[in-house]
Amino acid sequence: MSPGRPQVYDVIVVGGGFAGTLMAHRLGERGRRVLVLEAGVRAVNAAQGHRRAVDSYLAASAKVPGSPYPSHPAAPWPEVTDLTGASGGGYRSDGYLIQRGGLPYASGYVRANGGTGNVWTGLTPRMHPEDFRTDLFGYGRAWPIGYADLEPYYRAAEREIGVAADAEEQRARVGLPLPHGYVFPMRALPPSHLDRLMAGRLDGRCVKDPGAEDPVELRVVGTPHARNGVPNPSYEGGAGYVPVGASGQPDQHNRCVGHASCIPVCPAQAKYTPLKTQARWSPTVTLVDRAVVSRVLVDGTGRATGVEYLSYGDGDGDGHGGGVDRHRVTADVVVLAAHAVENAKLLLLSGLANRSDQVGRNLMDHPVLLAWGLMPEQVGPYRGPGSTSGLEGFRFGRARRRRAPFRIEIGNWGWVWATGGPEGDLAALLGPAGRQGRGRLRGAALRAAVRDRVGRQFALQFEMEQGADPANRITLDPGSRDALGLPRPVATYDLAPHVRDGIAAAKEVSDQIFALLGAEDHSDYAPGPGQPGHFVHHGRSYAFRGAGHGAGTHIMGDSPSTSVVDEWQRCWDHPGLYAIGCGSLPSVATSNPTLTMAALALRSAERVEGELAARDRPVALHRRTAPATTTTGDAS
Amino acid sequence: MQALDGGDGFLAKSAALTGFSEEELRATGMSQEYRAVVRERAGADRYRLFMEEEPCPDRADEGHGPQEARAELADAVIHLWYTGSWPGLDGAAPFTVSARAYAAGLVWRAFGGQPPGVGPGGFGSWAGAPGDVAAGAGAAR
Repeated sequence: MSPGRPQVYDVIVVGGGFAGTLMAHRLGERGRRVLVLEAGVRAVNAAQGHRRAVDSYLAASAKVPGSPYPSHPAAPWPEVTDLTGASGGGYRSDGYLIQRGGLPYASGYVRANGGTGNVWTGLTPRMHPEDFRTDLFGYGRAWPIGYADLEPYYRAAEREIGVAADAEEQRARVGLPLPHGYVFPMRALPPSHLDRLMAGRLDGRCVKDPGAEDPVELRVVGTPHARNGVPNPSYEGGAGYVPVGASGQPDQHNRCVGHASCIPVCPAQAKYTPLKTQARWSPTVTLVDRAVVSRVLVDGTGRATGVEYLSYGDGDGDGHGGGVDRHRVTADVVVLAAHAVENAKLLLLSGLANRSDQVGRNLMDHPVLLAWGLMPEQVGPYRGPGSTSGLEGFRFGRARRRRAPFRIEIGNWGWVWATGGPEGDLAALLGPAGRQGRGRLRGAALRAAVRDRVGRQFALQFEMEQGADPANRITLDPGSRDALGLPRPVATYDLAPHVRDGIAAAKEVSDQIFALLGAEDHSDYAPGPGQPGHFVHHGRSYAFRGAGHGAGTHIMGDSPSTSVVDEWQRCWDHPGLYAIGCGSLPSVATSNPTLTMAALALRSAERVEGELAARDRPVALHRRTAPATTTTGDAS
Repeated sequence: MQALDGGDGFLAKSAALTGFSEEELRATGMSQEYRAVVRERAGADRYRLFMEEEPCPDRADEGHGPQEARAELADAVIHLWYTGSWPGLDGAAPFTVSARAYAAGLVWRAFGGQPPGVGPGGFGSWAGAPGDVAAGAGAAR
């Protein structure tokens, strides 16, 4: 820290995103002195920062996930626009993340205070008990813990981030063994008009899934959300729940009002972001932004002692403002919470925690097959959350052996993910080719064509589980460095046959759903600029997108010889060093992973607190039963 | 009227191209700004030719040369009104005029919607049929 201001910290948290913010919050509640080092920029004033984010988004030409947030060359991040498909297949990449795989790693993240948690979609399904043992289905990795171990922390996470869902529906339609009497903090959000149209045509109907022996019954099921709805008065035995609104303040009346811009920013602040929790941090938590950690420090025994970081000035993103200073700071516990890719980068840079040779390996995502089309009638796209319901019948059971399981999200925002949104539709209607040579559209005919073309749009988003595969990995390229001189991360990535079979099965299911809906299928997977994820499987073209669910790079397991962290997300090789976040997940299941990441962070926070409490315990003289070496080491 | 479109018929021409009435276009508050953008980006000569084209057909003929150049400019003007972004002509980079321009985009209104991030319908509004949007379907519980 600055000369003349000696600071003592119990814990250093690297990253002010989802996991790091929750970790700091819990430890701060216990009076721990926590330093959070955030690589990106923090708004000095939260309310102003929010307004600026919304304004930046509205004025942006490309409304990409990072568009609302101030970027700086010192802390770059991968953006979806870095990738371009080639016309004959294959892809090109031009961004911070170097790509060397057969297929591109198609997900980005955000390095700003709050992290990718600013731009997440806000869907919070839990993992299912069988998701913790995919090895029993012949793929992926087993967790060292099970659903029952995580269940109390799921509830804690649902409280902390404020989840709206229907417990009965989650029990009956997803098969989640929620505790008797449990209800979510808020009632389920209303399903979209599109959801209801779909339910009317699909509920109770069956489709053939090539992976399943029996036909699969369709059912439109509400998805849990971390966005404000109507509080449930029965929550916590009648105590109820008060939604958290603007700038993290309790607000009984804050609600999702349907801005339809959850990604990348919720103007109403009804969607949870880590900034809401940061607003309630104890005064013992300090966040320093523009602080890029470059190395984790350990002592001669391998125990983590602190970090080295580079701080950059407040130039306005042009890379020229201010200099770069190097700092060292120490603490008893170091928690890496910088995102799966950045956590791996930091461990590799430091040459730590890699006895298993698994650091950076097992990179996962949810590869997404998009299917898009036109319903027979106007559906009212681009309203409400991006997805309010899904089809859950392809996530579980023996079919997982034959093909990757998948969750189907019903997309409320037209073709925005598939083709870029109404601007692209308009461009397709204009120009000499707009009407296949029948002349340019003008006036009332154009207005009617736009209404017809956009107003009937919907999409299905098939999110595949991708098993842990050591060959999918993050490495570093010392020959290619970022503005601070740190080696840039390299992704080597591909889709295993199990995932490709899942995508093929999803397309077969999609075809049947479209037929039941009476919908026109406009899905197009031909190679081209918009399809960097194009591939051919059994002679057919497909293309996948990234869900932004980076996982697996410091994988959790039950042995230091095969995994990077233990069940508490502690690095096996280094007492006092934790790596938390989706990078720890042994399997990503088919659920959006943020809630599980949050539950794991809260669970690990208890363990960190336990270590600190053990450190602080007075030395018991004349006690014969106490082990003499109980300090801050392995207290399990 | 003269103050709004410079008195050269830009609003009338825009209405004929977009299918939205002059009144609807005027209500966006973007007319003067858009006229300035088009004049600046097209250049005075091309803008004059574009404005002189008579009449403004519902469907322009295919063609090359000056006819095609005018049609391209007409497409760009439509794009501007519909999205708030200038699409770029002759290889120039596209840009969004402003957050206000994005919010005024007609492409959303063409199907009864609102631009994402602007003009939300209220809690539960997404549950209503699309025709209910303007009225605000209210909170479905």
